[in-house]
This record gives sequence, structure tokens and C-alpha cells, in this order.
Amino acid sequence: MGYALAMRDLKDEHLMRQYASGDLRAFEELYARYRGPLYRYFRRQVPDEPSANDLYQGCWEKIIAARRRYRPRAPFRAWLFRIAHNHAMDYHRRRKPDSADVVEHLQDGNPGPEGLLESAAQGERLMTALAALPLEQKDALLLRFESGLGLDDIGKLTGVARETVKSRLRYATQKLKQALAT
Amino acid sequence: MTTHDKDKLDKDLDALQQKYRAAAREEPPAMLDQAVLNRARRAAEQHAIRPWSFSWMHATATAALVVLGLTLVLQLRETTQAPETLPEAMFDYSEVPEEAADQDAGVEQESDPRRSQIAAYETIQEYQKTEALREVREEVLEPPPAAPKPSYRMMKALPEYETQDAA
Repeated sequence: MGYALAMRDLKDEHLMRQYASGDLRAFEELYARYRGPLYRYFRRQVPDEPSANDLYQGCWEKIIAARRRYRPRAPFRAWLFRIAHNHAMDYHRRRKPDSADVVEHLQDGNPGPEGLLESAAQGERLMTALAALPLEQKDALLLRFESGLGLDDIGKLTGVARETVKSRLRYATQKLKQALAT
Repeated sequence: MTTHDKDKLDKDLDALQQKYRAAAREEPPAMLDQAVLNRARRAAEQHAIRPWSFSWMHATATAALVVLGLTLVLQLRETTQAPETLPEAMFDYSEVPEEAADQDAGVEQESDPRRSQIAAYETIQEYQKTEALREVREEVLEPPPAAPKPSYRMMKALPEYETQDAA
């Protein structure tokens, strides 16, 4: 118990360096922290779950392979999501441009009770609108939501200026607000 | 972008993020978790088996040591290299009968022939230096003190002398 508490208190950068030295428990703690955000980042980028799973697993394999090259000059989160971003962009470059490249949010077949909560419907509209965004805007928004990184870090890992990131977020925000207002 | 615009954008993003987090609750399936953790464990075990894995830093350090070692060896060879020609009458002939007698009597040779070679070369160099100085000084000043001539035993240690002797 004491050991588990100590792990939770350690910073990401320290855990990654420990894992690079061979401490598996350090990786397990890191994985627990970022499995959800990283998975959702990929899940929102691609149209189907199997593709998201492949991307997710491939990304972690890259992180594991690069563990000894990690240098804590930048926050671990920025390093992690840069690998994830590049991995996602490689996927998009390989795919044929498809007009139907929209994440489908299928109803589960059961329309549910009549009193469907507004928040659930709103959430559905939000996800649909997010999936319909252009790739750069969607990516910037997902990085903002899932990584918690600031505009400067997002700009560095996507290779664009801070103002470009801000512009993409502004357009994305406007579209989502319109979708939620309807 | 003005501060007002920036604040508005931040507020809009925060509001959207709340709605997003309420709607986006996906988690990776357990099978995927296991696959990733297995991969991480295999990588950690590889590191444990080869704690001194040959990283690029080790390779660079090893290469640098090899280059340094080779340089030292080459420099050492240069300093002990024989002169191209030996001047005439380099050794003291008066010592020949004694040295020859020693050899005939089976006097034990120096255990380290290389050391005797080095001593011979050093003596030759010193002799050459003083002879060169003598030539200069004879024109200008009084002659320099005579340097000891290399002995017969010293010269015999040199491979050049052995060749001449055989001839």
C-alpha cells in the first residue's frame, strides 16, 4: 500500500525515467493515468472501434520502444501526445480521402425511455458535430480536451504557430456551439 | 486577438469540455490493456537481461578508446623507430675485444633487448647532437665537451648492426 501511494505521488517524468531503467510498476502507473485520454483521442479520430484499438496499441508500442530516448526537457504529456498525434496523422495520410469519414454514433437499437435526458442527446449531438469537423480542427480540439496541454504546447507538437492553433480552436468551437444550439 | 476574445474562447472551450467529458466516457477494453502491459513487461525484462545494453553512447565511448589506444601505440612506435642511417665509427672500437670476450664466455645477455635498443638509440641521438654542435662551435667557439660514444654492446643490440655484422 505504501509503495502504491508513493507511485501515485511521483511525477510523470520521473515514472517514465524509472520505466526506462526497467521498473515495470512505474509504467503501470503511467498507463493508468493516460489510458483513458489516449484511447478517447484515437476513438474520436477514426470512424470505427477496431481502427481506434489498432492506433491505440500501436501508439503505446512506440512509447515503449522510445522509453530510453525520453528526456524530461518537456512535460511527459506533451511527449506522449506528440507521439499520438504523429501516429494519428500517419493513419490519416495512409487512408484514402473519404467523404463518409464520419464517426458514426449509432443508436443502440433501443431508443430508450421517452424521457431521454437532454444531456445525453446533447452529448450525442456534440460527438456527431465533433466527428464532422475538419481534421486539423478536430485534432486541435481533442488535444485541448484530452491532453490538457496549452496552446503553445499544442502548437509545438502539431508543428504550427500558436495563433494557428487558436484559430482552429475558434472555428471548431463555433461549429460545435451551433450544433448544440440546434 | 484581444484579451476579451481570448477569454471568450477559453470560456467556450471550458464549457464544451465539460459537455465533452460527460459524453465521451470510452475506455480501452481489458484485452487491449493486457496487450499493452504485456508488451511493456517484455521490454522491461529485456532491459533486465541486458543491463549493459550497447547503447550508442557506449559504442561512441568504445570507439574513442580504440582510437586513443591506436594513436598511443603508433606514437610509441615512432619514438622508438631506428634512424635511417648510422654514421660511421659510431661505437667505440676499443671496447670490442672485451665485449667479444664476454660473449665468448657466455655472459648472459640483457633480459630485455628492447631496453638496450632504446638506450642505444638515445645514446646515438645524443652523440649526433653533440657532434653537430661541435661542427658549429668549432667555427665560432671552443668545441663542446665530448659525448660518450655508444658502446659495442649497445650497437650490437640494434638490428642494423646485426645486419652489418652478418654482412
